[in-house]
Amino acid sequence: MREILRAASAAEAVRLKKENPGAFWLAGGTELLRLGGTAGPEAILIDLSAALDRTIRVEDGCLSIGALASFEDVVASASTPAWLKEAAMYMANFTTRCQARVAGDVCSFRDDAYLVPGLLAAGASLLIEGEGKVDLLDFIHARRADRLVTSILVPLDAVVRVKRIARSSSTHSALNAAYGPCGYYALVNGTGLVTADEVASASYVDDLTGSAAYKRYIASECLSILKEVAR
Amino acid sequence: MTEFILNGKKTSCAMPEDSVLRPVLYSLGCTSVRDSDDGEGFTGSDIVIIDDEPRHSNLTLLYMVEGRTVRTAESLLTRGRINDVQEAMIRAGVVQSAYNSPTVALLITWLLEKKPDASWDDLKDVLSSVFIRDAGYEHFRLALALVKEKRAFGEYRTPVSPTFRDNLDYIGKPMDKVDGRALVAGEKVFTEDKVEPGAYVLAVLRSPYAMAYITSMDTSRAEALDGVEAVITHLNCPDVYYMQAGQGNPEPSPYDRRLFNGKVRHVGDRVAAVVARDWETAHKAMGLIEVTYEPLDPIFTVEEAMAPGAPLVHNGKVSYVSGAPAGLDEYNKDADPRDGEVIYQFPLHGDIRHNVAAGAHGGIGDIEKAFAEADAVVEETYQTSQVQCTPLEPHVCYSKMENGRLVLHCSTQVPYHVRRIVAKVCGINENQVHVIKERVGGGYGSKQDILVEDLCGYATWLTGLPIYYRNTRAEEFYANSTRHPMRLTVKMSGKKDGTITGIYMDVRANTGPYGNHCLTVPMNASSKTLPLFAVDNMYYDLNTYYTNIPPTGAYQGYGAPKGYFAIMSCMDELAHKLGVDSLDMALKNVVDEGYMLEILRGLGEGREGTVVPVGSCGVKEALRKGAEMIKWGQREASPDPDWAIGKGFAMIQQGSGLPGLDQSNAQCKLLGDGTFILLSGGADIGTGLDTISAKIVCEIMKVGPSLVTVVSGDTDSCLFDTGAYASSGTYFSGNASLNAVKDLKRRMIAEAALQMDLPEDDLELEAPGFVVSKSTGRRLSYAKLSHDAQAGDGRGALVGTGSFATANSAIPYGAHFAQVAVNKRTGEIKVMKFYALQDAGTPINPEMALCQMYGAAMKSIGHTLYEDMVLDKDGRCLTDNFTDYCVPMIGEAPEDFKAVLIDVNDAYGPFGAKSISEIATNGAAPAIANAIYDAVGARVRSWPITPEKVLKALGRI
Ligand SMILES: Cc1cc2nc3c(=O)[nH]c(=O)nc-3n(C[C@H](O)[C@H](O)[C@H](O)COP(=O)(O)OP(=O)(O)OC[C@H]3O[C@@H](n4cnc5c(N)ncnc54)[C@H](O)[C@@H]3O)c2cc1C
Ligand code: FES
Repeated sequence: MREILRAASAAEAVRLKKENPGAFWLAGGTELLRLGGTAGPEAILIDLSAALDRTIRVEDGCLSIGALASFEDVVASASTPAWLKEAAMYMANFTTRCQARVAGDVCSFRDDAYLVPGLLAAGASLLIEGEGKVDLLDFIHARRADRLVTSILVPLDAVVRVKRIARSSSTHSALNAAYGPCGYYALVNGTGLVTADEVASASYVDDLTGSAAYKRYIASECLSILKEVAR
Repeated sequence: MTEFILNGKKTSCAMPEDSVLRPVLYSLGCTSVRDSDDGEGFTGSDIVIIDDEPRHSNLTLLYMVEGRTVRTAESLLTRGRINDVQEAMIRAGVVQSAYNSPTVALLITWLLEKKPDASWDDLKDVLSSVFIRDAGYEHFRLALALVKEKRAFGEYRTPVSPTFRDNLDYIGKPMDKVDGRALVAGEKVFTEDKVEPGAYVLAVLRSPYAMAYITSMDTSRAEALDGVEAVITHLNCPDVYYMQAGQGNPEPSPYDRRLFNGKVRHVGDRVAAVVARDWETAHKAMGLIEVTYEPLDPIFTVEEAMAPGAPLVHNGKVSYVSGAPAGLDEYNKDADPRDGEVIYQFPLHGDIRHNVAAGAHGGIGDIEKAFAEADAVVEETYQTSQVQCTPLEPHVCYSKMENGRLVLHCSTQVPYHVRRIVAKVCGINENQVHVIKERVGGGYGSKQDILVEDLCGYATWLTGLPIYYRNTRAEEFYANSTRHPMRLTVKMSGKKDGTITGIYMDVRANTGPYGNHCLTVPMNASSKTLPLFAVDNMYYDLNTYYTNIPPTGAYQGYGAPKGYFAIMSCMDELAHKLGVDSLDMALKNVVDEGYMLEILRGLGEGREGTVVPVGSCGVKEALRKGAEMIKWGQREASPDPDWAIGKGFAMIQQGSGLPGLDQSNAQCKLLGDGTFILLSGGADIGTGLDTISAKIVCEIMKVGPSLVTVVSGDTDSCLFDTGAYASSGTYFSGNASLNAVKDLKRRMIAEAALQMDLPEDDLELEAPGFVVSKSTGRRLSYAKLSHDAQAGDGRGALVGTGSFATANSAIPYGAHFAQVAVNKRTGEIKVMKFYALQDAGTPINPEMALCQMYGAAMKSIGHTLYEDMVLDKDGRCLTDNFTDYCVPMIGEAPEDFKAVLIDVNDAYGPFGAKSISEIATNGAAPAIANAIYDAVGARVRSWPITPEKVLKALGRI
């Protein structure tokens, strides 16, 4: 039986995680509970619903997105820039869009995360409980499961272009890429994060989303396409 | 204790707080909340509204709803009455197999609460949450319009569909589906809803190897586990050879398996079954079964199976029930007893010592001469992949004993084949088996096969226990039936004027581990394509090979979608080579009414076929009309230079049942109050067959639908029917219903003549339920007629019986057109327009017919562009969930999607009707492939046509 721990605040969520290093912070649950889930029948879950919030507001030229904002909150907010809405709309389906939380996307460290390339290209940062502001790129590279994200900060002046290549609207992407003031970032299935400089040299793998040769080609072609569109 | 508001009522639940919400809601009586994907978040069968936001109840834990409000589709009912959204869905024809219809209704209702003027774009966005395989998405646009009209004007204003046959009242007119209300409300109508408390479960231990001998097996620890009732393996199962395809008896498929075999032939093959008190115990027991295998080198492709010295999938003793060839003893000399046996009912030209399960060859004319004298010849090979039917309701069965008889609640297309095969496996008589076909939450061919009922039924027969079995979604992929992958080589020759002079098809099919449909599915690749061509020289060779891929079987369209992909792609290639327009070529070489189909002689299902002329035929009209709609010949400019636009088409045909093989029967009873019950052997699998039967009663008896009830697919109360496959429903079961109703009418007139003391020819039936004298105007109500007939001094209850078997075909024809945009730099493909034009004879349920066309076209767009079962080098299926397997959702629906019914009246179908849905799976692959070529010059000859393949064909990678 799974154990459910309820965190009343961000600080408590961090404390509970320290006490139970194997526990999972639970946001929307669409990754953790999916298909039997990473959080199997014996897991300890730390519920975040009372610890974090889902508010989206404009602050100091940034869009501040509460960690528990759903993808649909992002789509529905009048303050969300068009490119970010487009990226949030990549979510597999509407109900998942209502249920999944932005922090869940960023903290799943998946090769097909919906928002991450756009956020990186925009130069987004995260507020982490106990640490303060952390650059998203550093957070992604560190890949640690013990840092509680409380909000995401997105510079509103960033002009970003996004492109996702997947066989169908609801399947996982072969490539999800974005180009913006901070450069080109592509999440490539099986490879992970690829920047403009790495497109040619990165090692790609054959998998269900396509062959290595195909991924190398589209990683490079999407860079050209996004640059052209940005112009 | 978790407390929350469920559908407006305070609810307390004592289940563990980490329980998944969906089963909790189901146990609280909310049967609308179902599961199609084991919590994948994909299909939307489980959606609920929590505090006004949609949620996957499968991805929500009970504690999360503490103090919150939960709404399920049950909340849409007011004193048992469905709401206006549900009514509109039924009216629009989208409630078909309907496994997730209630949750769709809930979502639409919620959307309209948020946004009363919701647009189609709003609805499309919301519908991205639900996978709809049967009816497609297009008519939800109509449903939305109908609800809004009803709310604004108090009535529906948009016509639901065109209507046909002005002289008839019910046939050819939209009418609410007879089971629509129960389905859209989420009533307990599916097999899972019949499972009683205390039922045992059945779990199957499956092979990790693609091919291996089981060298030893120890089940003692599993059997000793508390709560385990039985463990069934190859060592203790009945020594009965059979096959799982639900086909007419004697079947054109070999009996090449037992319930369990000493040799496993695919990853996921049955090794053992455990009957236990609950899932936990069953799974624990499976872990205690010790099996040792001797792994063998597996083969996965036709090429590997054909290779000299290839490992043999079946190498047991071969025998024939009839027509054994000479030299059988010699053939069996080196048979390996560990491989079991292969029993052919009659020769299928199989040669298992070379992995050939079946073969067929035939044709007309002089093909070599035709090729030699042609101006151009094209010879190309086309490859189709393994695709899955993916019904929302997986394969399930609930079996129990009642008064010494085995009772099976089934989700099946073939109740009578289930009865026969289960009786055979159990070694009992058919009268000891009662099959009850429940509502079927999607079949598409996969429920034509007896994939779970054999084992579940036997387990109950063995133990006497009530047992529930349900495939996981992953098992649906690797242990279920799928479309046979095929390699088709087509050689086609023509003259400069566009005349096709010869067609040769070499079909190599992959039947996988067992021979279900191994002759007939591949046969269809030729038998449903060649007869469309008025060409004098046509030959085909067909060989089906055993391999170690997951099992294959029937899938809507059978072998025809594959044959059409090859033949219509090849025709397009020939037209380009000859420099003629491919539409002109189609029109020049297609058959027309009256054309003698000589080719049929060699295209029977294992027997000699009958030559008949083409009957009613709307193919030329479909081609011309479709060409006009899509502006054939006009090149479309793309606003974006990276994208190019192209057009393609395919002409298509199918059949309506299997003349000479199928038979259907029905009975119609007049009840004491003047109402009717029609008992149909036909299996309504969501397609509206029961509604067809009801309409036939309404039409002939001149009564409204509220006076008619249809009971179908119950093997105790209904008469035999071969089942719902091969597009037989309307033509066979519909004609049987028509004959039964006509028989009842004759009996009613005869009885009325006696009661009224008038000659029979003076009497006729009149709405709303009278026998009337034409000469005197005297009327006798059906109620009095029936009451007096069944009174103590009466002449007996009034019952009509009808049977239908025929040698005549009622062939549906059509043409599908596609316009696609292809990105030259990324290979991405968008289907911009898809027009499906079909001649279905008289469409009895026109609105449902249109939805069938949309749904079937979507399935074929799926196999054309997206769907693919991928195996690893050891034969493990890597795509055993919806996301990875990649089914098309609303995001993949063509931007402009039209289904058009070509009005043709057939001579043999009931009221001129022919079949509708299977044919609609035939067009997309060639139409889209040809359109891609037209757009960017990339010819992709294998399914699925992915961006990567397009880029390869363009030489970019
Ligand atoms: C049909 C379907 C298809 C999908 N396809 C994709 C896909 O292509 N790409 C993709 O990326 N995802 C996919 N997902 C998974 C999922 O929907 C997304 O990853 C989603 O963004 C996860 O959000 P959540 O709130 O549900 O996360 P959860 O499941 O609640 O959590 C996900 C992870 O994030 C951690 N976490 C959550 N909140 C915080 C926080 N505040 N601080 C630190 N860690 C936190 C959790 O501990 C967990 O490890 C798919 C889901 C479905 C249903
Ligand atoms: S989890 Fe929502 S559809 Fe299965």
